[in-house]
Amino acid sequence: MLFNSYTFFVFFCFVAVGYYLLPGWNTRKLFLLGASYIFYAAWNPPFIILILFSTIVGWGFAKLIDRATQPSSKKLLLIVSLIISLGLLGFFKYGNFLLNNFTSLVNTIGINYQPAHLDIILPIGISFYTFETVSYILDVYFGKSKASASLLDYALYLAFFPHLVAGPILRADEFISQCDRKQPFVFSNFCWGLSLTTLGLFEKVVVADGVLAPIVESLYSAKGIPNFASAWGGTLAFTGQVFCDFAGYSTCSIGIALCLGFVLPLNFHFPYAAIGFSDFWRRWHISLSTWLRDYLYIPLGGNRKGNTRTQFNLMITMLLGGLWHGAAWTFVVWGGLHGLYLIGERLLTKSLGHYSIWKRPIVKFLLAILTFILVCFTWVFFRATSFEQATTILVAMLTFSSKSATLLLDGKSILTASGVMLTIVGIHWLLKDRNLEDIVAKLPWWLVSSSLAIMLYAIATLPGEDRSFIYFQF
Amino acid sequence: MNAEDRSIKTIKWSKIGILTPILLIAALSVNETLLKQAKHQPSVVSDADLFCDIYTRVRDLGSEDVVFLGASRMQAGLDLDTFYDRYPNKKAVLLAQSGKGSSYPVFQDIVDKTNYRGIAIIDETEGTLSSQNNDQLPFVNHCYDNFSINRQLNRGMSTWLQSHFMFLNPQSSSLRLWGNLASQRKLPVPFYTKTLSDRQQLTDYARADPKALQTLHAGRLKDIQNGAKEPSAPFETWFAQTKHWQPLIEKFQQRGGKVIFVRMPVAEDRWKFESQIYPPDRYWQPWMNQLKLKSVHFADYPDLATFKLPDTSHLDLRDKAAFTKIWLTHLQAQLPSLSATKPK
Repeated sequence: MLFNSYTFFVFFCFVAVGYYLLPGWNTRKLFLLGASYIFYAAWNPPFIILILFSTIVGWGFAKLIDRATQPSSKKLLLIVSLIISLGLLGFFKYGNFLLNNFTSLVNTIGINYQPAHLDIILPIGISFYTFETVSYILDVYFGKSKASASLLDYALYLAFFPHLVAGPILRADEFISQCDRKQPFVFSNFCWGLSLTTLGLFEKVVVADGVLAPIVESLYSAKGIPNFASAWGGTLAFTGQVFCDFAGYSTCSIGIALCLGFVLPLNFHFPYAAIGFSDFWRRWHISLSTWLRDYLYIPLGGNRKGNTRTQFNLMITMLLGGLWHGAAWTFVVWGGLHGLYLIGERLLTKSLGHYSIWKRPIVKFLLAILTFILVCFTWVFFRATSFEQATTILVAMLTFSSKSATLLLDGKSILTASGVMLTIVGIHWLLKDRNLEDIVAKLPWWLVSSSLAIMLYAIATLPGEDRSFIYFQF
Repeated sequence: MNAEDRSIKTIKWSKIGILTPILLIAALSVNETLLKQAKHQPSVVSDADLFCDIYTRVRDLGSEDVVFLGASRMQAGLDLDTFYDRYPNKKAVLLAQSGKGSSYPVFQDIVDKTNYRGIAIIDETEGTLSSQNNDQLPFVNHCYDNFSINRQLNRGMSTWLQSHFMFLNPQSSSLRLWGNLASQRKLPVPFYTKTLSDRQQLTDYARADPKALQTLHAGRLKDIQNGAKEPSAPFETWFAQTKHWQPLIEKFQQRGGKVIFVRMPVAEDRWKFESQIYPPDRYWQPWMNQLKLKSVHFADYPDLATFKLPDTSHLDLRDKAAFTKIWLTHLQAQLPSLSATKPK
């Protein structure tokens, strides 16, 4: 069920009213769990079994690990549970990718092997709830948190519908602790939750789908060689689209959860104002980057084992982060580029970071622009359907010559993409050290009301094509 | 972490809760009034979900019922009300897909994956009959892969809303409305086509910009004219390229289904070139004879060839009913079982 659908609107009205009318806390949680399963089943009912299985595996193995007294048995239980959880993700998400690569490899060495294509449907949200299961099991194994006594709380943690299909990736202790006591109806929370949902839908429906997506498609879904302006126009449009799509989803998710009294972590914090790449990853898809840091980068040794090992760890983390986004080598290259940027930044900071020039506001601003431009280059690999297309677009972005160009975006599209991105980057820069709650709290009520009405008006009157959220595929 | 961290208590939410819906309703009312003033109309978005919504009805059709396949000419030419007036006991579904070439993938799916054994009225041209174009396949696949219960419900709600409100018509978006008012100081000209919930397309040329229509007419004519310069493939080569139809038609007929092919009207100046490329007596008719099929080709019936087609190939909504009435008479003459109904 998409947040930007009529069915979700009806569903949410029923859930919100039903939830607050029910008397007991456990009944309410049970109701939310049932609603979450209906939300997921609306896409493909049989895959409910997969979520139930993941729930049982995560909860059961965490309990067993908690109870085990021997380190070896704890380790064995950990390994088995990780194999099951990651095995499911591997099969559904990477089955065909691994098979295709294996086929290419054996064909290259002269063995004629042509397996049938596996007809696997990628269950929506599997990457998200698998990472949540894995983090919970690892936290219990390392003693960071206790295994949840309540299967209901744990099941709700995994399936809670606002975050089920595209995050934010929750940590069990953050969510389960909120299940301990009844969440009362707080009018101001409910209203702020609805306001956040409106903002998220505006980003998704109006900016990402209505304005930017058609420009992106005119470059990335067409064949031909673009010129400099068209390549930048289309790529800037995608830079805005991917942010408004995913940050829009996360904002809706946080808003809807807040309406029901639950707090989900912030997932985006004005990322296009980042100064450098470590700053970018502190602001972009925060729940994924902190997950990768805590459960991959640090266990690999983080920065504790010397320079070379740190660089290696960074690269491995980003490559796997890229692969998490999709079973394609273009995603791996996207991650690899970010890995290179992080390594480069680390080396430069070590050798030049002590100069005071970096603290000047104008230099910070220029560094933010440079970061933004370099991030735009990585989005080409994220969006392109092949390396050939990515290379063609990158070459056009780096050369002013347009003699051989056969794919030209109209001036209006290029101006729109540039204007929207300038606005987004400007807003990010102005608000980068603040949070939305503080900003809105200082506005006059009528201005908040007018802004909400304008956003709702735009959502209703700018029907773009029906598009799923980009991150649903991950 | 608790909800307190995220709440904003200093704001007057109750006032916002009252003013916001008032402002929204006022804005939508102004929007709707302006669009009405400019003669815009509500229109259902003709997407894959709408196609599937109709396509799922095929499994409920009986042996006397009818499916209409083809492209935009069928969508614009067929008047389902006239059909129901003439055949009140029959059900009909319109599965033609605008701008998407041959209806072969839809027919193939009906034959291979349903038990439908009624009447199939298929609108094709000589060009689409021989084409291996699969542009209509994604909508069919969508029905199996994505058309979940949720999408069915959502489509039902959006169809109702889109049938009633102009602001939900993507061609009358607020971006276009305010963009036009800001840049040209006038309301946007409405698009002259609209889609109904049963997928019929209404083409109202009276609302079209005459200059744009003239350009469209000339452009389409030029394309066909250029095509007429190329020598057309000999019948044997062309016939070989249409072979994929034969097994499907046979399979459908063997289980009791009836097929009739139709060639929808095109403008006189367009037909001049089209008939040069594929003379009907050398392509259309021999094909029907070889496959032992019935057909209604507009050029064989003077009363079907007299309608005006301002863009060269789509009927005006005012002619829809009259055309359908005559057309059904000719179809029934070729296929008497069209008039058969279920015994009560």
